[in-house]
Amino acid sequence: MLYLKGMNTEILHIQLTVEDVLKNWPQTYSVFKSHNTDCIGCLLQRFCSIQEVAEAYQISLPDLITDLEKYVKGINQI
Amino acid sequence: MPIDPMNLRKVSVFQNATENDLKLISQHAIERSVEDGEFFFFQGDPAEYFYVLISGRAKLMQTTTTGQQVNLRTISEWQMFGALGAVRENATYPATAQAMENSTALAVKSDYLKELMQTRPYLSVELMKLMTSYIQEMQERYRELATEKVERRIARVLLRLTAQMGVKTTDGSIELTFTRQDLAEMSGTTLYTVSRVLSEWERQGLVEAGRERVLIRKPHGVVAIAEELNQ
Repeated sequence: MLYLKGMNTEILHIQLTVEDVLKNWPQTYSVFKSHNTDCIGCLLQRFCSIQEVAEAYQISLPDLITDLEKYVKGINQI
Repeated sequence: MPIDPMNLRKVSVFQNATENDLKLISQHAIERSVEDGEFFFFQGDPAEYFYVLISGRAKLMQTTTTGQQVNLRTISEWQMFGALGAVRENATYPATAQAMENSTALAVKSDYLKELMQTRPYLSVELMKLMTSYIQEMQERYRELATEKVERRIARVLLRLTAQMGVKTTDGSIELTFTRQDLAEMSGTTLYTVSRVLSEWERQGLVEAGRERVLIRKPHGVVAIAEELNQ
């Protein structure tokens, strides 16, 4: 579990829920979409952390965090 | 304990009401407290009052001739229920209202609402909005019942309940306190079918089902069944 801590960034934390991320940075919806998750509109958004999304969809957690971070920092604008 | 009439604005039908109207309605309201499992009214009773739940939770259910109960909807705080008498002559309640926990509601004579509606068009419009939303919801549920596999229906109900009442445990599972009978009633199926489906999900490691509690071990697995996603 320790190595996962290294993936937390200044803004994002792997334990943040999908709901937290979408509420704070709505533009990140396209990241969840581009990784082919079904998180957008899911009733369980408030329960699933970024880490759990990566596990459930077998996505690389560092890749997911990196992509989310780009949108959070406004590098990729819609 | 008297309520602040302005709180009635939380009721969708009264959201556009004037302060004076809210005061009038609250002056005509009787507070009724009902213990967990007890009833506000029964199916077939004359619909003399409409209710606004001010605390707790209640369910509206119908009973078939064979005794099977079907849960129609869950009522949360500041929702109106049993308002049929205000729009139909000699109406009887089409469903029974049972408290799911200790609950309190305001009861107002349906005739009084009918009287107010004569001079306040906003009340009729808001009631129509409420009714059309019910119809829409029922159409959706009818479609689910007519076309969807029972497993999917149970998964959808479980997700809805989880979204409303689930609690995340320290190991990442989601815990839900609900009986299998409740789940059967809300999915329009039998207790036997719910038990069979839950056992199968248990075998797959998706859930752990107790008598009055369900622990969702793999939330995404349940979402996949509910939404027919490729797993």
